[in-house]
Amino acid sequence: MTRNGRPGFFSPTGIAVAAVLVVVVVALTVLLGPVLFSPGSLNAQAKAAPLGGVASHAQLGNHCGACHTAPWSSQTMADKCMACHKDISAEISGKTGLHGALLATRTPTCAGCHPDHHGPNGTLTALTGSFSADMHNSFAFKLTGKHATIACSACHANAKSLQDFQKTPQDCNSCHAKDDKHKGSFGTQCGSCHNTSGWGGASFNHDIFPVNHGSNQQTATCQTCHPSGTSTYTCFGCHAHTQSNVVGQHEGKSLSQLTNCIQCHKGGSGGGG
Amino acid sequence: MAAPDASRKSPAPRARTRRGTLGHLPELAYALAAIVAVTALYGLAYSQASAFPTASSLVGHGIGIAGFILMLMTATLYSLRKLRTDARWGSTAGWLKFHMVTGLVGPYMVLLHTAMKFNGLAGLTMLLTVVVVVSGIVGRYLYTRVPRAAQGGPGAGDAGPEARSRLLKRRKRLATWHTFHVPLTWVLFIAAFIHVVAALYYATLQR
Repeated sequence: MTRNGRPGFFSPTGIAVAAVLVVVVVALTVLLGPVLFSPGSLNAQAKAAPLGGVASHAQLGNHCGACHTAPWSSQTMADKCMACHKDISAEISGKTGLHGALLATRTPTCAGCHPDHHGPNGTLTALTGSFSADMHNSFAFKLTGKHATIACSACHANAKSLQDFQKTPQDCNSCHAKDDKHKGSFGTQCGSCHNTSGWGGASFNHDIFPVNHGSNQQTATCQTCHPSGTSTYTCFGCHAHTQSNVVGQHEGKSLSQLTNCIQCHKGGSGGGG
Repeated sequence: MAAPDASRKSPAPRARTRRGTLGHLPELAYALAAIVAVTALYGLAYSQASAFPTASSLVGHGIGIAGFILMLMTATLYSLRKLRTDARWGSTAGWLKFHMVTGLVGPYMVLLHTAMKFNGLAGLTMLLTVVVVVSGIVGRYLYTRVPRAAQGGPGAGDAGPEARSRLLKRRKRLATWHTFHVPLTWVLFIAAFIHVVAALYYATLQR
């Protein structure tokens, strides 16, 4: 479609229509503000006390300049955030509280963790972005091993607010009950044997009582002594330790007084104390 | 990608062969292969983030910029090739295939860039992209079925005056389609340009 030696994409009609588009965009921007450039509605989660004259970002409407600065301005977007969120500003400058701890060694931008334009009910704290595992180590729950590499949403599914994040359970069983190959028989303190590097390579520490207590043969399984889980044990039911034998050997004591054998038989051998 | 074929001669008469649809339309096969590859890479990023990579993320930006470059190539290279009378830069048929491949793969990458969010001018730009792609498909697979014999091309000697007249009318309709396809493309690119400037101002260059 070459005309007059011009390429086919050179179209006076196209240029004219495109110019009309530019005029329309400019006119709408002048009349309504830069609404055409918004990537989505602002968050409508309301603060109890208004900040900067509004109860939520949504109330800023099309006043984009409330948060956005010109790239050539000396003022940054974070400066705009801090102008309203003075409590956060105080935390950072005083190195106190959540943000004081988080930003002690790092200086991410506010928007790196707190995006907006995800709708009225969207999250204000991103599960991706500039937040990192080492920043999480400012909290009581350290991210080590595989916890440092999984997606944030694996633990913080659908978390949208600080309260949602704080509600995240910190015990192993809340997340890993489905992974328990012991079917609960070893209790819920996974960290007694396992670490965050993986389920393999568990360290089995049974110093509290010698498993074989004198026998050369490894015949006892976990269930032999812990039929109801590892939080309790019993010596009954193992070779000579029938209830009648035990009661017979401990004259003057009832069966109910003879359940905590280790209290006297610390090494598992005879005698006691 | 469909490499321009400098050695290509005049197209052979259409004939039904046992080749499948993609065999007749190799550009679709190339485009499909590229789309599958892009989807696989994007799927990897999706699985790691458990969500669509946002438009402003490394993956989102990267795929958007790459797709936009492909769209720019789509809009310009085929037209520029048609300015040349020699075949040193490949045949126009080869460049039309290239135009089709980049014209499908580029918009698909831009669609992924949107993270399925279509707001404001960015959403309008995506809509225009779809319209231009559909327009291009219509032009390629409907109007180019009209033989060029009416313009004295292959087979012209077999056509009687009435047949030539019918062909000329059909070629005029093709020209009409072109007057829509190109201006739509202009609007698309100007909208995309404004979107890029706005994104730089409000997001990328924000400190």
